Amino acid sequence: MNVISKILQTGAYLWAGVILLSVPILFIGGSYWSHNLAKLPFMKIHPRYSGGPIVETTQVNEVEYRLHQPVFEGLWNDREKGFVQIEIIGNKSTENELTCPIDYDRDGKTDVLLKLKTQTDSAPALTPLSPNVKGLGKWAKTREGWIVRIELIK
Amino acid sequence: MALILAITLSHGKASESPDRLWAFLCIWILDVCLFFQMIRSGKTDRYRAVLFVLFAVALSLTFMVRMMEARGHISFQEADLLQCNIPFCHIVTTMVLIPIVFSKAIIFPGNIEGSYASIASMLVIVAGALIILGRGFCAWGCFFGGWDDGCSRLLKTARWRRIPTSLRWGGFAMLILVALSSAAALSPTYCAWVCPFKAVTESGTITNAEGVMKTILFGSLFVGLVIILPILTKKRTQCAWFCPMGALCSLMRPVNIHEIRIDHSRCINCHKCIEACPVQALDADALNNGRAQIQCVKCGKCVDVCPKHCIGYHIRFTQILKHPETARILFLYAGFGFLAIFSGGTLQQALLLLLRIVATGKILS
Repeated sequence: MNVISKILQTGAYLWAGVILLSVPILFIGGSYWSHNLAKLPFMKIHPRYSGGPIVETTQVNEVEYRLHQPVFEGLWNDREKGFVQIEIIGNKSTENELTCPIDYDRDGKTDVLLKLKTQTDSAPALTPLSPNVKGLGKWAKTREGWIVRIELIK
Repeated sequence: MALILAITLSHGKASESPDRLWAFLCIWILDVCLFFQMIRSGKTDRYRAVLFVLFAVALSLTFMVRMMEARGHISFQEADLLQCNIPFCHIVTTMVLIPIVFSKAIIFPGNIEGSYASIASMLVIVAGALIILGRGFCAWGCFFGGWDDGCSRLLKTARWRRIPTSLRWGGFAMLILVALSSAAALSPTYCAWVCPFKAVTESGTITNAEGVMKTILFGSLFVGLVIILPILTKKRTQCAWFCPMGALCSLMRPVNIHEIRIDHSRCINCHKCIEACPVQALDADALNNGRAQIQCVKCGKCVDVCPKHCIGYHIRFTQILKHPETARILFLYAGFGFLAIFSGGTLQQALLLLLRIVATGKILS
């Protein structure tokens, strides 16, 4: 056996030993590794799922409205169709109906009026005031209130 | 191994709850006994399979109960999707890679960290598994694989024997398909449409025709690929022909130190290994080349059945099958260690759940 194959063999057994040790290290240090992985720049949920960053929070009586940035992001550039997400926090509101004027492009003009019936599970009603508002997207009642997505075109 | 498992399964401290302590002890004893039997008997696959199948069944059971307790229902609803509360599974890795490169974000409605099956924790385990085990993850780590592994053992002989070997490339086709379609649609398409294991974990609430179609598809794929075909063929058909994660693991072969090699000079061409291989990684070409195909899951079934002991675990760059038992034991410490630690928490939970059902008659706490 020549020297190179001896070195390769020794290296291989060493590598097998490292692999063996890495199993308990992987699991014992699991939370450490995942916490550090989570800090990496790509470790964020795509806005198509997270709804994008919140750009405005408004409190009206006991109801809080959170407006997200409109989402048009595609794989590497923007898409024609998108949505804006609004979270309404306040399921303890005593009002039967909540009306929320939404200015998603923040130009000072209301783009769409959102109406929610608080006592029923019916779908929110939309009154589009801008041609870029296509209609109601996904929506859901949550423990805290409602999440509503309004479909947009660019 | 006993010490490593005692530390990792108990998280380094004895539980104050007698139930938890009892569950820990049971699982620890089970793991240690299985490992001891592997070393003592020289057989690998049969003892691995016990833990592997138990893991799959326990995961589905505890997952569904956990979802019932957390959400009040097994299926996820629109609110869970919009609030990004969906647990991440390793198969999703194949669908998020291209979007990570191009859009620097993960196309999945889950939590990055801090929750059950968070994205960061699962990606760490996947990365570790790819380096440590490679495709061996499919036999020593995957918490779904035990379903079709178990079903493939139900009959003594296969009812369908002439299986085209080209089917073993199905997983690679699926990997390309789901990676590209997920990037194009910005949606994990395999999870959304064809994952058979949705039938034993969670799927969306049926609210429309699409939901009905998906539920029928998930159910049919599970029954067909995970139950009926493995029983008839004695092969792990879902893992070998359909799973994109298996194909991704196979691509890690160049960095994996452990592999299965064949000493062709001693082989008598009985083809028992070819028949036994659950993922069609052995064929005449593999025997001639002295090396299992890229699809090999390192389960050890071929090593166990070879009458001439000319197939064995091997450490790359060392002399072929010169010290097969050393190579096997080194692999078992890594492979069985991974499986036992990864499955430990789930098996303990499943045991506690069974204890609760027996003691109180209640499934939910």
